[in-house]
Amino acid sequence: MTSCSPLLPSSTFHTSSSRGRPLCRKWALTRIIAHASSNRMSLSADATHKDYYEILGVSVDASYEEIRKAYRLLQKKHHPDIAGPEGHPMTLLLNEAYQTLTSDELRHAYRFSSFNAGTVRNESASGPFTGFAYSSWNGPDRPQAIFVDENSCIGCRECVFNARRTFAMDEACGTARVTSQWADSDSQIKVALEACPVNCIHYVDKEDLPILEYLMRPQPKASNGVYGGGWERPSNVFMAANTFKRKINASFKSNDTASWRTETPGQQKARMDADFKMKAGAFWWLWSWGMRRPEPNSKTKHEEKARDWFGLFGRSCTSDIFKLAVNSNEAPKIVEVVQEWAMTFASSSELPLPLPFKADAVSNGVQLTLISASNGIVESKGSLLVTVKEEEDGMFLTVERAGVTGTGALPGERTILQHLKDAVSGREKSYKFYHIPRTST
Amino acid sequence: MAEQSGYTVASDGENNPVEESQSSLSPLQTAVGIDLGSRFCSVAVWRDSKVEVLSNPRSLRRMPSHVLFKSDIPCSGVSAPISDVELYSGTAIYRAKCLLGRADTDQVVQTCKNCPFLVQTLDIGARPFLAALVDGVWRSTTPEEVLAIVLVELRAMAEAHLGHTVRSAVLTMPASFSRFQQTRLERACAMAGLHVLRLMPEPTAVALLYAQEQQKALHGNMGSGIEKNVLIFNAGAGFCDVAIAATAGGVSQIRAVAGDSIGGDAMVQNLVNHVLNEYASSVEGKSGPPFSKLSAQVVPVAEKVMHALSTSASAVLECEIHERRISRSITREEFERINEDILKRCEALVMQCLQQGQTIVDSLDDVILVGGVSNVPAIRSLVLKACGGKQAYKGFNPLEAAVQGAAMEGAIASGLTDSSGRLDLLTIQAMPHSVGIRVSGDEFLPVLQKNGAIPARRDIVVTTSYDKQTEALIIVYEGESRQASENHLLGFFKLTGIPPAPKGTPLISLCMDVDASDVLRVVVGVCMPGVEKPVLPLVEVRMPTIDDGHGWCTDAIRSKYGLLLELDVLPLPKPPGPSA
Repeated sequence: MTSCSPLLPSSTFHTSSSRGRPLCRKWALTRIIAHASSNRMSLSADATHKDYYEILGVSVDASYEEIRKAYRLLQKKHHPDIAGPEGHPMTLLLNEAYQTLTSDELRHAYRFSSFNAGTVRNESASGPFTGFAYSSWNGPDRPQAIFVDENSCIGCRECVFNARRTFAMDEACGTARVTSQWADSDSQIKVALEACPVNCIHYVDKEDLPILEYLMRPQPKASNGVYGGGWERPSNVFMAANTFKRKINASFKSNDTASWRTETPGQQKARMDADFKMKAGAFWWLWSWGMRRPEPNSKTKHEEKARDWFGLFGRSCTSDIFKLAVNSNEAPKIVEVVQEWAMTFASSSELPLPLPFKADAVSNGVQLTLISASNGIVESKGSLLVTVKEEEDGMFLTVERAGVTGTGALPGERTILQHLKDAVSGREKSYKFYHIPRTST
Repeated sequence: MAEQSGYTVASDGENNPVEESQSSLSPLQTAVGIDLGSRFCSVAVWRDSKVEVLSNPRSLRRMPSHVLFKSDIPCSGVSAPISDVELYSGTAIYRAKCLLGRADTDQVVQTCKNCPFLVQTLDIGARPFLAALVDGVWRSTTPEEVLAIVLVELRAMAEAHLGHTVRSAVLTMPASFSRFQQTRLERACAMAGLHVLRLMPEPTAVALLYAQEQQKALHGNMGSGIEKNVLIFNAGAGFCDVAIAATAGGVSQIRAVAGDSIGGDAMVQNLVNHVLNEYASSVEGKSGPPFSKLSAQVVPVAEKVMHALSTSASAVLECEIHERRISRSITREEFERINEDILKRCEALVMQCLQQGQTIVDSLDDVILVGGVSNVPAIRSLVLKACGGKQAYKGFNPLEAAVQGAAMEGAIASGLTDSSGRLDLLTIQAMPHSVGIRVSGDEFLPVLQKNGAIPARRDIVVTTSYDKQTEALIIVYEGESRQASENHLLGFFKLTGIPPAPKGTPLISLCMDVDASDVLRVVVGVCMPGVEKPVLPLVEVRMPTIDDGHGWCTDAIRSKYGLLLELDVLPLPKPPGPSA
């Protein structure tokens, strides 16, 4: 869902995966609208200070030539002539970043303003803390994430050789970095970890990842005239992360007096949600319905366990989103019901789903893939796997979320689940009430 | 669904009638490249990993772009040959591109009145009346129609060569074309059944070709290669454009582009006027046909003289006026003296481009001269001198470079890929003009700056000018003058229902967006301080919205609202604090 925000958190620029792109041209249009409407907010209260160095993928002291080169390479990937209309927003950002960083005057002003923004908010020059990790989450949802302590990294590239989808070298810093969590197989990652000669790759809690990755970025040092200044990062990033967390918690407590300048992650999320709603237009109520309502059935034993193990910072981490105990002798019948349900469900057009999906039968269940078709290119936006499985304490009808969206709920997921429950329990429910004319997608 | 949150004011449907058909195109159909000049036209296509310039049945690759209204079905120079006598008899129309989208007060339209066909003006800012002589009858037409006839024949020719239908094209256009003129060109294409995939300024098409040449030379040598700065000077019959591009690794980034509507036609006309003035003073008092009538007879001869002067130091102009034979020797120096004004304007254009592209002459690696008029020795030496005495780049055919570049862009924009990497190219276009709105009376506030990279987007905040103002007029202009009324009007719309508040309180947020196919959209929303959501539905306008007669609209707005501040907007000072 963050991928739709015009006030993009920097994490979405970081990867070139489909996450950073809008869904289709229609979305791009709504972005303009939302952008125009939220303009005032973005002028005064925009906490996502764009990191132009990050966008272009250059170091802060990059030369003019380096910036130009990076700009050209990225343009070749994202320019709408090559990437189609989806490349439009990214190209806009690239142009903006390029324009700022290639003009001495603007670059100086930008440095000053970003530094200023950082001191006022107590943190950061590479944008404020957004609450999102820089690395994308491409693999299955897990409680743990991989993190490279770049202070210790010697740039040996072993990890990149062993798990190249997960790790990448930052050539400017000469260190390795995780670009995509769990993008390689577990065994590959394990080999990569063991291959590291200085043991600088760590498993960390997923909740800590945004803070750690954020702190790992070089920060500007306060300068006095010509002395001092420059860029640094904490020597012990784990200690720094603990301090940072305490600060965040403190600001949570005192946020009744907080001005926009000290926007907390919570406020930011609220604002971004509001922004998102606006963009989603007529669908916002449906989306929020799907996303906000607590899922009564989601608290499974699995989750409780996960919480016991890793739940130091709140949220549950499993990707099972729905679980229903079934009678083991009914299992084959339920598989049949679910498959039949999915096939009719996919072909019916009366359901108010923001994105269409296709259903594929798998053994013991069905896979529902949400697809977005724009300009003739059909793209998967993630999928729900509905299976009947045997577990240690009986048979369960499980719905698991998979695909590129990571932790976020899929559009229309709630509707699908509701419908599924009704189908399995044999109840018929009319959805005509929620009928909305479909978009042309 | 999403549009429910704002209503869309689409521009006049005729401007982009075939846009929707884009989705129905088969993805592999390549768009052709068309160079439609004011005197000549050509068409090229990317085929078998190379650009192929197509030739007509008479094996001409560069065909005259006039239209002959002789019989019921008008035909263009693409299909039928034409004699000089016919061309200058008034039956043929040949400078349609210069007349396209221009009001009759325009200087260019005034000079076209010397042409043998009929160009009538009332000097009120309306469209000029254009007509061709068909069997003794002046039959009216429009520049769009004339261009459409040429395009139809070019399209038929391309289809005959390719063996399938051609639905989309990349056209080159002069850099000085305003957005309004671009819509007229698109209109002409639509009449010919062509979807315009891109309109690219002529020198930028050449820059793309240069990028490919550079990449070919470096192939296997190194990955991205060294960056090269190149100045491209393109001069044709009606227009003259300059661009500076930085190319490396197959990407050509346009750093500055500038254009002027001067060219070979103007030079010929100067020569004709010079000779006729001499003649008039020599035969004082003798009555004869009007001056402009005479001019049409001398033009073909003068053109030949100009061509001859490109290779020899002097040439003889021979013609017959009032049954009196004139034979006048013209030297190259004399020709240059006559056209001093045009040469100065060319030089100014190059200088302006160098300055705006922030390029010093020493950093230029190559100077490319293309277009028919770049053969004129004076212009060649002038441009090369302005670029620090460099040698002209010799890699291209100066008459075909633009159309080749357009064909390549057509292949890239159609999504074609080439296994040999020859299409691994990209042009990053630059805005040829600034686009902005009128604020504080008649001040022009540029929102998107000239020479900014496309796609471009920027938003600004303006506010009301007096207490309890409920309506505001947003007038969008294109141009460089600081006075809004001197720029090209693109469109206007009124924001109504602004909540009454003290002046300066409502925040009118205005966002301009230009996408890669150069479509300009303006989105306006009104926010009130303290209210998170916009208080009014957003207005999205696709520009330009005006259909005709720039002069009239500007004057009408000024006379009705110009002095009253009641619909005015003021720029809002930027709040202190970080700004992205």
